Amino acid sequence: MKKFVSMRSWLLVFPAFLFLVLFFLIPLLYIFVESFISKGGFSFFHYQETFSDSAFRTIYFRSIKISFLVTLLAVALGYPSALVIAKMRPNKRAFIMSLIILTLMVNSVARTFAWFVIMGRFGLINQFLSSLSIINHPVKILFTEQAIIIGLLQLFFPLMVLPLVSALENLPAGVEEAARSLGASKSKAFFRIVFPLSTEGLVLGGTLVFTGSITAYTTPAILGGNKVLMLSTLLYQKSMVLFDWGGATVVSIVMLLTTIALNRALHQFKPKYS
Amino acid sequence: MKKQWLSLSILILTFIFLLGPFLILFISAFGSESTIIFPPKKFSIFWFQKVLNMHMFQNAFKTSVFLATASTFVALIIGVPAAYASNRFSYWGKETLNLFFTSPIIVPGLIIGFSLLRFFVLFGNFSIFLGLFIGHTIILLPYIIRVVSASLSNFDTSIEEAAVSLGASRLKTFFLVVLPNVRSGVTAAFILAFITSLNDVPVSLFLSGPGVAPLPIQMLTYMEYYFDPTITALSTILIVFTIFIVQVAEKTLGLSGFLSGRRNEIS
Amino acid sequence: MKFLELAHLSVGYGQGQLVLEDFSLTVSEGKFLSLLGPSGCGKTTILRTIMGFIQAESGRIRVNGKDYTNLPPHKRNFGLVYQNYALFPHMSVFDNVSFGLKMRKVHKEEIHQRVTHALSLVDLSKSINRLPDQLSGGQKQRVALARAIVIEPDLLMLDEPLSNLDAKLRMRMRAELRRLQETLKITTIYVTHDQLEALSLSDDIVVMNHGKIEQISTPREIYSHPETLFVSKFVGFDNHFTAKVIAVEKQKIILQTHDMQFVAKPQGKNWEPGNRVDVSFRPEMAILQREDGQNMIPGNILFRNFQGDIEYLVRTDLGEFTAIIPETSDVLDKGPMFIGVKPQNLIIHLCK
Repeated sequence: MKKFVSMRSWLLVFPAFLFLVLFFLIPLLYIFVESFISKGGFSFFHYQETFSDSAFRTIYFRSIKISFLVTLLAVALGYPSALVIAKMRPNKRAFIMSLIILTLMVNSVARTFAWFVIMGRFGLINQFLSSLSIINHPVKILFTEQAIIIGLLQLFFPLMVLPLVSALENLPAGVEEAARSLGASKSKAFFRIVFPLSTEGLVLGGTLVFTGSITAYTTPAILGGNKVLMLSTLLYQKSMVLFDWGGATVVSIVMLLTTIALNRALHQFKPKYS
Repeated sequence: MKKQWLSLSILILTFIFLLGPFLILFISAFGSESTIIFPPKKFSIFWFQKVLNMHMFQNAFKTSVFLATASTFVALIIGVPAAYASNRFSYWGKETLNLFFTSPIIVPGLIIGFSLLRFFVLFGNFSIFLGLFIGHTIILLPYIIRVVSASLSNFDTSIEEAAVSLGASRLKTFFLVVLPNVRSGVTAAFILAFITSLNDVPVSLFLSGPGVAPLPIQMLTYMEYYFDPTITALSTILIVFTIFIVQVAEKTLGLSGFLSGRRNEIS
Repeated sequence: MKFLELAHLSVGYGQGQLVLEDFSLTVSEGKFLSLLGPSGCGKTTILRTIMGFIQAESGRIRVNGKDYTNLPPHKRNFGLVYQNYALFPHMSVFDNVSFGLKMRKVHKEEIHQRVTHALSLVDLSKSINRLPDQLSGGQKQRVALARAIVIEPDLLMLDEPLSNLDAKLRMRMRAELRRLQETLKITTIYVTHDQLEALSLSDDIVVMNHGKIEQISTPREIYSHPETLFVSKFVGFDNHFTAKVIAVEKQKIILQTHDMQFVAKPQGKNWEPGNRVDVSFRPEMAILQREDGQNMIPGNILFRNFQGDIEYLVRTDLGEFTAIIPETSDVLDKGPMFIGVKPQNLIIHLCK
């Protein structure tokens, strides 16, 4: 009878399982294998070619650098905001949170395009600066790393704020007040009690922002174009423009492994207690 | 007192940063010039009219909606039973299976789309729409399973057992007792998945083809060749549309409850 | 007359851990049986096994001669009432109660008639169209009851159904439950950890501990003559000390501990001098007095607690004992006293 229950459960689970195996697992394995095949046989050719390409290395480290900066900025700007939001009255807080969630729901193309308007040659910033006669001709803001950073920051900022607010909300009640009553100053209470307890939210938010930034396509595509390539836009270029499938598979494997490694690494920072 | 001003200004700055770009987008969409200028010189709804009449975008929109509906439905059909089994039964390999079902979230959408593209090539002529449909279903599945699981775990098993004790088979119990009570959870999952599909870029990027492209991809393609307020107008329309759907969902379901701790591919 | 027969059941939760091992029990038709024991003793497991939610590894379940061991739960005709009522939140009282009848494809008119009858039996006819969240705890419990009995089950099973109700309501519901069961003559199994509940409701009580039956008797028997140390501790024999049997006579036995001697009744068992025994008595049977006497232990009143009657905590050389004395007697001050009990109220168990 127990075996019967087990079989019945598998019946329920099987369609989803089959679907994922066929269209998720196998294609991934396929490109993994494909990356090692050149001229009909097993070979490291694609990897050698890719890794020896200095452009690739530049692009790779640039992607990591940009993602890191975005994450740092997200924490720097997001933590204070989260603190403020977490302390608000539940009604106002819910409203603000729903606004933030709203921005997440909006199409990434639309969101990134807005920056296009702001940073373009005749965009907001340039218009503003030239109207104040600070500059003589338009500053090139678009198609730079800075542009991508700003765009990614705006895109992923909510993903940092939401888990943080959640973590701060879920602090054991009265913990901060208990610390204050025991003699801790406001900042001491924060750094020794509140901040450490919010680490879980910080790690979650950080992971989301970092991995999101490395794998983002829309923002680097629109704000970086062909001038400032990241891993994602490189992948697109190699596959859909250059039809360098071998190279493309390598880029995708590299991206995949980096993302997984990142997840693992950041997971270490999760607090042991719960 | 000083603290209050600090808090307020932080909040205001944050919101200017988050929402400001949208505002600018809105305003410049009403421009009359053929290039994007901010602030616009004259007020006009010309670009809105234009974009709404363009076949390219009309088709893309239809494709997006069709795609979202189909993949959300299939994801629900295969995902809900899996969520139910995971929540109520214990069986061989359950932990590994649960991990497997949530793994598409960890894999970047780009990679999912790319791997599917290479995989489908093996099969020769593959309908583009079918490819898109499969890709979208893959990325929607984890959300469906996650949200439905959460709903189910809030539903008392003893109520199901009571139904069984009164003579209802497990299947009947599911449809007569469980489903009516997790309806809001399932609907929330539906809306979440639908919007995710509509907004998707990474998976659709590789799986789109000539004539068959969802709206975001179509927008990107257009931007490669043209630089005019068409996209601004379209973006504005989309944003308003999204706001509308989310508000409706929020009012009827309290959607934000399901989203704390959400992982998302949004680019 | 075996109506319900559990034969040599072994039930586990996987990983080789058996909650019940070679468990057997029979219940006569129409009887109200309580399974009494602490959490984890297996009483709920028995219930769920009879219902079919847990599959026994070995053994058989028979009801009225029919073998139910391998029958799926929804095909068994047993009524089940849960501690948390388990009402269908999206259905009205009527739909909740009629659910079982709908599953049995009973005709609409007959459903209506039987449901209204069941609701009148539990005194809820006025709430017939309400939703569960509009009902109080006691009302919900009565709906759960009506829902279980309307299907005319062969067996009615209740899993701590009154635990979520407040004390006063609990007493009322107890009376109603018993009255209902006697009227309908349904064989009933009642799971509880509350000895008072079991004592007041049952025809028979099964006291359980770690999956084994410690004693099956009528409430009266269990109250006055617990057969094992565990049962005695569970049903309120709060005062214990150990002693040695030093003399055995026809009508009495003499016990000794420290330098005190006690007289007790043999209670139908064979004792031998030298037996080490556990001696216990109920706080309600304790006598407190200033003078020494037979079976009296010298001690000091530590604490006095008014709870309607008065509870005294007395420290003696044999340990701390509790006495519960009705308020009508003189209230005793703290200080040296004697605490003891009549010979027939001493319960003795052989130490293992």
